Amino acid sequence: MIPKSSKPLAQASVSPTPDQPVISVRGLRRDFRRKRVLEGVDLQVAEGSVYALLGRNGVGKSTLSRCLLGLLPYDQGDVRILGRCPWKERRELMHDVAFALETPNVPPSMPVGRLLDLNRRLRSSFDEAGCTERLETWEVDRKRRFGSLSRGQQTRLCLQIALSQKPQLLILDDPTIGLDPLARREVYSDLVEALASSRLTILLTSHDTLAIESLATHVGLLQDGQLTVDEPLEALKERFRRLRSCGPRGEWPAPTPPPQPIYAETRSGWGCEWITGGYAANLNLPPSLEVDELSLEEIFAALHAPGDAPQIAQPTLTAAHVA
Amino acid sequence: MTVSVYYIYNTVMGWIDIEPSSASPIWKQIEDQVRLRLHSGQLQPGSPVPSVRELARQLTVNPATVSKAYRRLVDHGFLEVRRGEGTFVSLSPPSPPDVARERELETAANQYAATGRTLGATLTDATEALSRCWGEIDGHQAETEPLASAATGRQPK
Repeated sequence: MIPKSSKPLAQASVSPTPDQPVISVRGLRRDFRRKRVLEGVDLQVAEGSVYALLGRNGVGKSTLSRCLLGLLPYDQGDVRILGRCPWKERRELMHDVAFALETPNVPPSMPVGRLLDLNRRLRSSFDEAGCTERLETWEVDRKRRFGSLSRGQQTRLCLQIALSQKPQLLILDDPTIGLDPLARREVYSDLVEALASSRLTILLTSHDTLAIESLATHVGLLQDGQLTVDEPLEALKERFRRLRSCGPRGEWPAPTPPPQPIYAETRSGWGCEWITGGYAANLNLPPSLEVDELSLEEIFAALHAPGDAPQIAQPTLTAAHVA
Repeated sequence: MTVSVYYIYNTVMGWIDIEPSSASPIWKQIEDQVRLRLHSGQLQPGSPVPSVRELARQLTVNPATVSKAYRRLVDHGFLEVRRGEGTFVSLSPPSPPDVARERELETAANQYAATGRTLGATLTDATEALSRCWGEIDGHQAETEPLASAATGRQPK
């Protein structure tokens, strides 16, 4: 006999119809007092992708994650998670959407055993075995208070709890903030393991560009309340290059026609350097021009180059440079 | 930063190095390296390779990325999947197509020549540097020399 109290809250599982994105956001706007944080965000995340949301601190990444989770209402726009509205249908979505926020929202005085009990009662599909195993590996007693765990253990336990409900969508808001390199690696290993064993869609915000390069399929950049980059990681890295040309002033061999947009131009006594976001392998660039790949971190920096909007693209490469 | 993994299975798979920050997609890096190990004889036909999950875990990359590399290697006849047993190096993997090889070699040579000229190196400097690097790869290979000749049947030029 099943005691009534253990009846899970969420029973109905929502499944995405084929071709329907797991996350679909149109014209999302959210203000805080007079400050407009999100100004018309459009975002589609397809099933099975790992979408990394980048952006400087305070740009609204957490606000966006919270809107997607139904933890925060929005002022305008349309948000669909697995075809449902997260704000109005949060209960229905609870079963299929899991999350871990930058600061674990667990009272520090709560014993970890009680945390697991709570989750078992809240979620019908909660599989406690993974969490128990984890605690055993760490030799952490179920009576230990959550606050006494190390920062890395707290994060990994929260992640494990999130994964233990076998969600379709996992939203992680800066999961590795404040973790040492080893703890960070362990968190990523947990994610790799989760991706290998289930069809999971992940949206994560992070500043750890190296990890994003290893795990993400898509990248979005939140800038001034909008997504200024929203494309597959591969495509982004393919189109960004540093072009370098050495020579006395005015005699640099310049790319013709200049691959647009140019995000930065640096001139020095050595020559000239451009960062382009319009590179393609079939461009006919002069062989004397040095072409360097950029890491995601460098691309991130280039996109935030001072004094520019994303469409700066000043065509500074003119015939004068070639002559 | 480079992430390296060393495998010891029944036989040696060799190193897989990936560079997440490179513009070359990670699946392509894995694919290229498996092909390189194969052509250089470090990977023996018929030997097992790590599972997708295992390689993904070791390199901390998205399993879908490893899966894509493996799928392409299977499609091109370099690897084969034996149901229930795992993934293996093909018993008769294709040798690199001459045209593609020539083109790739030329592209790489072009880049190297350009870098050399930019640095003001002479042809002798450049050739010497190249021979040194060439030798280093041979040094790697020497450890698995018996496998090498057995695997490719090709004589180094």
